[in-house]
Amino acid sequence: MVGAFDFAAAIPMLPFASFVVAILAGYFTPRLLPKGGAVPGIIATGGSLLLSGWLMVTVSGTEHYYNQEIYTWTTGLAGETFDLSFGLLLDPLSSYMLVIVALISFLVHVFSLGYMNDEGETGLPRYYAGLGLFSFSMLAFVMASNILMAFMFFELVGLCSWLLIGFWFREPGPPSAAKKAFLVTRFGDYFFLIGVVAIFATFGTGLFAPRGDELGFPQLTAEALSGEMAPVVADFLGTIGLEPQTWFALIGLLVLGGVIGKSAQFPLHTWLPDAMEGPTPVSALIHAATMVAAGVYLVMRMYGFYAQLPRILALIALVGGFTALMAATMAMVKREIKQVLAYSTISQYGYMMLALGAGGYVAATFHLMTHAIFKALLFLGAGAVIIAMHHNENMWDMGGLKDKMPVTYWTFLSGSLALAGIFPFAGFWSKDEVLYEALIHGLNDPILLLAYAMGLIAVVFTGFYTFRMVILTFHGEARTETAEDPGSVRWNVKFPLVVLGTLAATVGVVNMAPVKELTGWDITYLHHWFESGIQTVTLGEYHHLLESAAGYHAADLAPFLPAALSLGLALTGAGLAWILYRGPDPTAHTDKLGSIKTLLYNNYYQDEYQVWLAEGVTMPLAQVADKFDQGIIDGVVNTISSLALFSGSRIRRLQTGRVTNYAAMLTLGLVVIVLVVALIGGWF
Amino acid sequence: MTTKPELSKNIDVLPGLAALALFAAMAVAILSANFGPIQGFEAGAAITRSIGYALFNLERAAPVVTSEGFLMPFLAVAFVLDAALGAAVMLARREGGEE
Amino acid sequence: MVVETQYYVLLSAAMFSIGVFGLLTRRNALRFLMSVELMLNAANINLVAFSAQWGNMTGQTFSLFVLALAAAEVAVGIGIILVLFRNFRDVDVTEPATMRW
Repeated sequence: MVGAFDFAAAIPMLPFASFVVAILAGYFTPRLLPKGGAVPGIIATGGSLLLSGWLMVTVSGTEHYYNQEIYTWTTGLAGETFDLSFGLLLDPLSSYMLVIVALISFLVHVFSLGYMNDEGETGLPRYYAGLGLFSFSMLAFVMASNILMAFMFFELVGLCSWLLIGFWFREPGPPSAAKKAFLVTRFGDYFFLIGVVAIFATFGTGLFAPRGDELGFPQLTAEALSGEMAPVVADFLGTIGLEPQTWFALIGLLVLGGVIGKSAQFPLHTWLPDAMEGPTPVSALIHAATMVAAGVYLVMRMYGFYAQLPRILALIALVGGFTALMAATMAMVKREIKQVLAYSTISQYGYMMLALGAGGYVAATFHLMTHAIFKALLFLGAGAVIIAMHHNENMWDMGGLKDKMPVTYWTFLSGSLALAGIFPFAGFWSKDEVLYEALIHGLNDPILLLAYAMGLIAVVFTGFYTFRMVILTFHGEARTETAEDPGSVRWNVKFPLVVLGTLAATVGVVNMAPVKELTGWDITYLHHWFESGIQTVTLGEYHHLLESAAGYHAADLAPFLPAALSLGLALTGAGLAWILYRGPDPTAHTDKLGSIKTLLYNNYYQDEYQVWLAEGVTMPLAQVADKFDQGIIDGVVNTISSLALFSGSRIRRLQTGRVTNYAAMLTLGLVVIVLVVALIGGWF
Repeated sequence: MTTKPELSKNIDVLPGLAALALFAAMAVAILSANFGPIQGFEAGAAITRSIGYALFNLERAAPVVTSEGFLMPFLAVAFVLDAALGAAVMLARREGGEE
Repeated sequence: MVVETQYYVLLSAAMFSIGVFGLLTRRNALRFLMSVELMLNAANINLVAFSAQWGNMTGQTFSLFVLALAAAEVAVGIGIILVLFRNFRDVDVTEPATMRW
């Protein structure tokens, strides 16, 4: 029977086709390309969305999952090495993520009609080709069945990010930001690459989930740690002479490098705020909803592996909690609307990492989804504001836009409430679950408790910066002439906003854990969703691993008090913002912070110390290596060649061109030969 | 008027020494060698006739000495001479056509 | 009286060396040809001498071929000398020295 699985490969291939169309038609026949490539992109991502939806329905109904190899591109020696292949893994997690990516991608394509086409940008085929390629890479990454394929598309995603951030390459900022984004994420990916090699070397497979009789590497890890080590793993560990626990933790750390780079966690988060130089829809698609999610998604995909490494989990939680807090403080003082959103993105991904580290797998996936929706909404809303403000992003030049752009205002408000975590918007449910999971596991583990505390404090800041942004942008009175008479936006801007705004308000219903506790209704659908799936890649297995291998135990605690606490803190932050910035003409309070303000404005001097690391430490090292290379290695080679050149230039003087001289030399040679032969032969 | 031969004085003597050295080396080698007794041909052998027959691979009874045939080398040399003649004519002709 | 073979060979060596001497000391291309002719015929002496030594016809027959090839060589050599003269107005072999590196 032909089912959704047979069409699964089309989900990424459709955007790829739109990429090809946009790039070829844009190059050869730009006039034939409707809307600069937007229409093929919208059709393709719309198709992907429909197929993903179908896939999700298929996956949900049955115990029937798909994990197949589709193309082997390198065949290893039989019995000795392994094959490298592309495969599709379609289970609850990937189909769930596919829907999110396809949905955001589709809406961003529509929004781009308003943001790029209506604004008369040039180079649209290039823009839509980039979006198409990005959607393709991200969707393929999500479906990847092995870690090498995942790595490849991870890199492609980074490449697309570079292409799209640097879209306005004639201005000074974007190319530099694009380079920074690429290099910083590459830095993390470098470790990821080593991790991939280590995984293949250790387990002889890169599969995430078992396929037939073949086990994936998380399952092999479980076997190894429980004492039934597979021969290949035992061989490898014997060779390197490390305890399995230590070595697996090392692999986990290496892969985590890529995650931290891509998901903009401390200390590799510095690229994300700069990436706001790109077009706003790109920021929405890549730097909020999907690409940044790739890192977190990777941890989820191989959660069966991480769940057995308590130290790495604690590190993930700690990094997440710290990032959430630090980014939230930086977001409080920014003037540009997109900068605030950028730091809030970093902060929110910190929450997801916190959840993953604390054992809250469902909480993390839940927050990933709600965040994708409300952050895409906020970025698109910000995009609408930026269109209206004729590309002025400074919030202090806005104000009073509430009455002039009601659709944008109300949807933006919905997204803001979700971001701040105000009841009953989507963000409340997911963030509450993140914090709740961190708390119940943290009661038995002081490190997790510390991470939880940081996450909890960040809630106040989140509420504060969110409402500071809303109030400065939409409330009060117009502070500039542009804000008094903003430009208008069309349906193609409003439609995505309305869709996302509705979702941001309502999507929390999929997993209202506290309500379940209160009423006993069985409404935590997301939990059930992840409980099914391929054997050993399910929520139940993860919980089992967390308890047996990582020693995580949930404390018995009702969710109401923590929920009320975080809601209260969020309201406090929001209220504080309201008090400080209300009124027709709010004053800037940041000056009162004194030196802290400077520190925050400079983002804790993160960039400076990283530049120092590059210039003060790495560059001298590179110079020494360069000297060695130029002086010693090249020196030897050059000396040999110059010797040959020199001797050649001397010896060629023998070639006088006179027949007589040659004949004389021949004669002398003959004499020598005769003498030598005679002496050796003993004729004399 | 006839001129009598005369020793040329307009020569480079130095390279000539190499030729002398070659002769000296070869002479020493040859004189110190021993080739053994001469076998020679049978008495009354018709040497010149034998050469003629050998050139055309023909067999005759004594006094013609039997030998291997040289018909093929003969033909090859015929071609070489022909080619040399052609080459000589080509080289000797003035460039720029007939004269 | 029978002459020992090695004296024939010595004669041949002497003729060869005379040819080489001419080659090394002279600059006239025609004299070169004569010297080369001497050297070739020195080889002929050897062929004939060893033919007699072993009672084998091959050496004598072969000397005929050498003569024929010497004729071919002279034909080409004279042609080259003609061209040389045409280009340099001289037959001095040290003049054309441009065909090097």
